[in-house]
Amino acid sequence: MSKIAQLFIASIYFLILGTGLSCSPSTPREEAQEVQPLSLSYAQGFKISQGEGFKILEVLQAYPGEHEPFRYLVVEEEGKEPGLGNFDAVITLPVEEIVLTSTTQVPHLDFLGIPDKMIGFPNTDLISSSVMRTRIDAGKVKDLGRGPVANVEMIVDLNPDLVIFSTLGENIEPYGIVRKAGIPFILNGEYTEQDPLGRAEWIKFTGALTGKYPEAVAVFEKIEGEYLALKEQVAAISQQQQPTVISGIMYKDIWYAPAADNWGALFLKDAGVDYVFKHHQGTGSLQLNYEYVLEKALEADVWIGAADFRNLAEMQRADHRYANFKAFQLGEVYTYSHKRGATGGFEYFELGYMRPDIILKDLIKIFHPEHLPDYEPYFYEKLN
Amino acid sequence: MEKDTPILEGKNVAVGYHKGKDIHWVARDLSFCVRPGQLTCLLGPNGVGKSTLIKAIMGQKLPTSGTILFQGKPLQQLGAKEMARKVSVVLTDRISPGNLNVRQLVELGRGPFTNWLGSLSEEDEKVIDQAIASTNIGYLIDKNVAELSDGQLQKVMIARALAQDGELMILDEPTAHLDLINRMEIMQLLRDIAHSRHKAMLVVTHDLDIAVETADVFWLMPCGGPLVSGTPEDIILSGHINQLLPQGKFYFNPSTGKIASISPQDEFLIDGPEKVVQWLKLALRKRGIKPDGNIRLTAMDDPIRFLLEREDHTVQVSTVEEVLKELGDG
Amino acid sequence: MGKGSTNRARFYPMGGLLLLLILFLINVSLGSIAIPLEEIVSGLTGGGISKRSWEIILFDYRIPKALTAILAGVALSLSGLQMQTFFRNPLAGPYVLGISSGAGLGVALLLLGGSAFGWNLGGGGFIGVWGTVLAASTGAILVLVLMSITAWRVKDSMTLLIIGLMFGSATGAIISVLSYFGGAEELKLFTVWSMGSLGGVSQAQLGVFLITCLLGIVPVLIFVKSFNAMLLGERYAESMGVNLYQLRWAMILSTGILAGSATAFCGPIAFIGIAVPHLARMMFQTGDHRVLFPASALIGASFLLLCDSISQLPGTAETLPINAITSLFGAPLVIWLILKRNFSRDF
Repeated sequence: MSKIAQLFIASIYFLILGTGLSCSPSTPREEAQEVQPLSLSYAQGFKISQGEGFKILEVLQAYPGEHEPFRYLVVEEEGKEPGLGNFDAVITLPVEEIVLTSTTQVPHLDFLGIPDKMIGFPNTDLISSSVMRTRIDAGKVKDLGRGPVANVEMIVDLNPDLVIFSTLGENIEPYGIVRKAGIPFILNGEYTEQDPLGRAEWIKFTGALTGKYPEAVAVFEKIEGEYLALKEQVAAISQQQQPTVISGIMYKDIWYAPAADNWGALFLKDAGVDYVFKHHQGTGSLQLNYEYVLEKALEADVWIGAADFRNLAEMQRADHRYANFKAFQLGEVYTYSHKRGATGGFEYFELGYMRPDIILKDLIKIFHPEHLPDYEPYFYEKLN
Repeated sequence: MEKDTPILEGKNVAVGYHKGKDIHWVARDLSFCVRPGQLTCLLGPNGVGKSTLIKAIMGQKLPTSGTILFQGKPLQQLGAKEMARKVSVVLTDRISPGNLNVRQLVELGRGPFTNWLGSLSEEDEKVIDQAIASTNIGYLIDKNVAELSDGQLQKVMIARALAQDGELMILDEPTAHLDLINRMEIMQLLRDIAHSRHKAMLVVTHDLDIAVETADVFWLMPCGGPLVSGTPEDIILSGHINQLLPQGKFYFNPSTGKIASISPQDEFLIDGPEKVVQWLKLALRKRGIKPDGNIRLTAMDDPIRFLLEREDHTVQVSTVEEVLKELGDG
Repeated sequence: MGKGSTNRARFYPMGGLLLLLILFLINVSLGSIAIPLEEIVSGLTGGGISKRSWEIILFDYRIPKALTAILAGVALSLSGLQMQTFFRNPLAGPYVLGISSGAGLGVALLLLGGSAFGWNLGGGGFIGVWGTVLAASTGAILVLVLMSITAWRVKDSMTLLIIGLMFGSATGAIISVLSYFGGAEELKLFTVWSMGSLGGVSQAQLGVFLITCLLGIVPVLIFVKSFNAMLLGERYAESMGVNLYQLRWAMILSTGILAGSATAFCGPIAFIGIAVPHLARMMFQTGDHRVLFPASALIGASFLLLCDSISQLPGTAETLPINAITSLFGAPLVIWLILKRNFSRDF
């Protein structure tokens, strides 16, 4: 190959490498004006500061792994832009048209009273919220595609005032065009938050972005209150009286269950039960050998979280070994498929992020029914 | 069966192959017969259709016209299994025999006769032993086939074909990659097997000299002409043998039994015994040395020496090389 | 067997079966949970086991898994040997005719197609194992049928081999597209499936697997002599009466059933089909298929049992996928054997 051709190819390589390094957030410069940090009780993944007519949002954990914080400026009153240097996006209120990419933010809009602002969403079938479904059926929400990357051309064409994006961190590149088009592109790291209340607190993030911050605080405090009250109710139960709980399901001969510090597992701690895998630290999903799980959990009292099986017979057909577990034999298997949207989406994965109080209530009803005699679980149902 | 009844008989056979929907006829006017106890050599230029004819005789599904009879029955009527018991082959295919030893390879030849598992009966063992004995490879039977020399391998393949014990054995250029000693040995072996075991051997070969020496029957397939068959001697005496050679340049000299070039040359007149003179003449001819009237050459043998008589002096030398030097060449 | 075969061929069958038995015992004795040997022996001989969970582990998990390993090892090595002899190619294996790609395509459509095509599999998000088996079988059979049609029309075996490889590429491409559109969960499931698993086979499935293995072995038995003839190549084999078309059909059928069912029940298991026949050749120093077929079956079963024991990572809570182990331990083993003996001489 000629030298020129080699040089050409080498430069292509470097170009490609270079673009991979492009999406790093900007570094903050000195803040000349006064900003007051707003208090967050549980969330670790973001910070909000209030200035004179503006807010500054910092997302510290948008996706797993280390990264520089993303900084966003929300201009609340005209002409009040502070000369405070680089931001990854500037949002000017009011915001009328929003594109979301994760179903978990749909309830935010519902509860803040602004569901009509969402104009686009990838794979709209996933959405359960009845309010939003009505809008979708009326054609008011554009479907942005099913692939791992939403259709960027359509987003640019829609020209929303705000795009809120959840990601694992690997597919931000294609959205460079959206940012170039001047559309504020915000990363939401809510799913990295493991603490149930911390995750719910992200409604404040959405509130700040849409000018509904006070409303968001109010909604959150109500949820917080409920949650803590429920937690209090079962706090007194001693360990001996706690039922042992197993979670997860098997594929082939590997058992998948949440690790002890995972969002799903933290509920179990607050619900006053003894999770069989509580010693397995980590925030992700466990992959355990069947033998180990059988040994540990054969005698567990209750089974929580069996994916989306519809009944016990179906579970047994999927893998006959489920039938060995005591919880299965007693019929004490519960999973979160009670509420589903018209197109098959699970409300648990939509509303659940924002309403840990409901989840906790469900769990307490399952494990300690005597504490909540008149309550019927919302998300969870017993498999028969 | 009478000794003379042919194993294989062909009448006005033409062979070809399919080219898409058409048939491309390669050779026509082929009439031949193969008798047991005889070594028949098939000779002809490359591309004339020898392989196609052989494939047809082996029973492969090729377009043919005319009749081919095997022991009196039309060839098409014989099934593959029957053919396998009557005809065995030695081909030019390279084999990668995966860890077999010589005896195991020869045993494969009994395939058409054994049961599903390939178990060998006493009869089978006897035939195998005979095949090994006839080809003189007894000392090799435990050797891995991959370790054999080309000549040894060829004998093993012949033994295998022999173990198949058919009436007809077809060999496609069995001496192609062998050295001189092996070539002679193999053809001699084939001849011996034909005669002592009363088999019909059909050999395709380019080894004219050795074929002349060992064959009972020649089949000549010239370009664009009918197949000529007969004893090698008749074919030589009648001059048909020249159809194998490039016309106008070379010919088969019946006196010397060698291929010689035709180009007219002024030849030296040399006195002396023919068996010495002819070699001196050949050397001179090759060098293009023409006679000039001043020199007289005489050859003598016992011991071999050559006299060069010039007008003024005579030189005696003992090798052709020296003669050439004397004449100013080399 | 005639004077030509080696003496080893007579001694090793008994030794091989004994080795298999020992490996079987080792395999069911080892696992994440340490079960004392006395309990194992007691359980196997009908004496009962003290702990309920141990009983379940032994009878409901380890023994079926070990039997699966044996059947899969036999199926894959017999397929591989047939492929290598028929195509006279040392790199051929059970998957060169595209069977594992076809099975993979079936499973990919089942698991990933939901997201791509928008069909809702209606609950039971974790597909029942029979679903995967049926999807894999369907895919494998489809490819098999396509290959059979091709085999009928194509005379040259080398062409057949190449077409098989091309089928593999094409299905791989389709799987890539499906993976692109699949959801994260489904993708994980598919990846897990493609890493192979011996432990997910129920007793009912094991019964079916046994039947398919027996069915697949039948053509091997019928044509064993022809395989030996094939050692000299197609032309010589034909001259000895071997019907090449018949043999080709038998081989496609046998391999399809054997490798197809192994892949359907266990996912694609790498390395066994290609390497074990070579191991058999080198260890038994023969090219005679009457020895090589049973030898490959024994070695394949033993090797897979051994790999499974290792993949269980005894004493820990985790397990490694079987493909990782077969390749990790198998490849160096074959390299060592090749260097020790002259490879080209043995093939």
